[in-house]
Amino acid sequence: MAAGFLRVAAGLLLSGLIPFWIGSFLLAWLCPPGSFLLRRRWVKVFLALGLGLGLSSLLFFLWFPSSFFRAGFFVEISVYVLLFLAARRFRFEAGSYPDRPAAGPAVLGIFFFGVAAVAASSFFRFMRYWPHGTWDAWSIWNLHARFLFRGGPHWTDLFAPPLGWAHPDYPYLLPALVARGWSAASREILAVPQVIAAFFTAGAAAVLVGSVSSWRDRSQGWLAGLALLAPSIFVMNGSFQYADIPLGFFVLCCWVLALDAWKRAPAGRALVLAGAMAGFAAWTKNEGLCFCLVFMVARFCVLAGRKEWARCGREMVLFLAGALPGLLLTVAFKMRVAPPGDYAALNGPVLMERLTDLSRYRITAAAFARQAVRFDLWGGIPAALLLYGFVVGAERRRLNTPEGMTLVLAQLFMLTAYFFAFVVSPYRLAWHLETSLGRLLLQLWPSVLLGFFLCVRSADERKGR
Amino acid sequence: MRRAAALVLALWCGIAAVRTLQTPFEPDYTEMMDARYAPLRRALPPDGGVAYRSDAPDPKTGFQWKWRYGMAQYALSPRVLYPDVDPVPSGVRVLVSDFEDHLEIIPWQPDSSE
Repeated sequence: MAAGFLRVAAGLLLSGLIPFWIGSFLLAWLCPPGSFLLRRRWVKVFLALGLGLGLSSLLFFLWFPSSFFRAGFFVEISVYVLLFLAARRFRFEAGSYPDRPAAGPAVLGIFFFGVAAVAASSFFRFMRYWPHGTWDAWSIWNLHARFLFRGGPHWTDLFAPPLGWAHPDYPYLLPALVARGWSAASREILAVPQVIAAFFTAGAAAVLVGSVSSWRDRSQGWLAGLALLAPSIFVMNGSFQYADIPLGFFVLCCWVLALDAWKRAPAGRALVLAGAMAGFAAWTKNEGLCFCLVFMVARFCVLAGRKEWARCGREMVLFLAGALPGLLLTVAFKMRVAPPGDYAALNGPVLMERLTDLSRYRITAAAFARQAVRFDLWGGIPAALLLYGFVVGAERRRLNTPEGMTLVLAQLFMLTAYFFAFVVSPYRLAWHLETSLGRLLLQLWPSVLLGFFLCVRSADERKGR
Repeated sequence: MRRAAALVLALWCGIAAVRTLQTPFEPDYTEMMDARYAPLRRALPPDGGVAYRSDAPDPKTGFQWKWRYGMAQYALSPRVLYPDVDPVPSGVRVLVSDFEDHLEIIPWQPDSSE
């Protein structure tokens, strides 16, 4: 009994530690000295784990059909990657780190930790009530994971037409991670998807607070964290084991790493890591594919407007180099393995009919507007932020940079893409909006807060940077 | 002025977070499924075990039963079938067929390999 428990615990610990080591090596390898990432311990931990888990998910999915399934193959692969990276650069970069972030009003810190404690309490309360997660968790993500874990080479039985409701065409980052954890434990235990959900929820908060604190000051970081954790939709969706929070985490990490890379001229290798995060976003949900495209288009538009062609080309190459593993696997999976998704059924005439139906625009726009003032989901935070931004004002010098413009442009492109996805939705529009819109906006919420709190004036002007 | 605005925003966030903590659990799929499949639930064996594993395909559809099992498990919601059991119990008692509209219990021979 005790031996069995120890074996499970050791397997799970190893399955978490190995991605962390791999991610840490990647960060040390590709992040330049002086990067804030190297001095913000918690940001580094979550970025490293995010990188490692994304990579582990890719490797697991690539290898599981082989005969090594359930034979600890992920350990072999992970160790292989670990050794490879260690051989290349077995040390963290040392450098002169920038000053510690300026302290903000202590009361904001107290507020943040208080709200974080309340959010954690809500998270575990929901998780206790719905230990398997809610609808999408058990009907899509964890179901896919069970097909991987139980089915082995037969996992593609999921593509049978009677299971079309389970969206077998969705990407597999989350299911592969869950199946990998179960494989490490040699059994299906609820704790695996629960811990993964907790990691991505807490990780989004840690990376947001850490990055805003480093680039501005602590009070801005605390406020960003407060605005992220306060809306019930964030904590609930995290505990529901949906893929929207992991997607939001990867999108946020992509921006954080890209902004860090762009702080140097020319942009550093950290852009490869930003690309990797974007690739993992694509491997998490279909919207992640859209994000990859939008990120590159937004950056291209900004740099093309400034006629910085060489810089644009270099950044695209670096970004794509990182994104390629996730992107390639996602595209190959969708083109070669998965059945067509729901949107594939939309043909030309149907698309045209929906695109020219003005009532669909009106309904969709009204639903978008309603989200901002829905107190039950968002706690009125979007409206409060608008008011707050109006009162304290924005720092134009931060907005009028290529980085600030890229961030704003990309968010607008994403919102536009989501808007038209609803306009041409293959489902009943009202139902689709009601069940999906909040979650889709949630995917962008962490990165919207990142941009907002990097641009608005600090609560503590003298110390604000 | 900015400090005051930041404090008001922090206070607002605090109130929103506390409201999240007080969010009542609304009736969800679990309750709906409980009501819908109450007869089925009563018909399940006392130990709740419905796990079934076999590679034999369904003679009618060619569909593998073990995935039907997976469907049924989640169509009925885990709490209905496995209220307090983790992991899922092994051993075969019944097989629940079809996802929504044609739900029925099919008695099945125990799987000798279990």
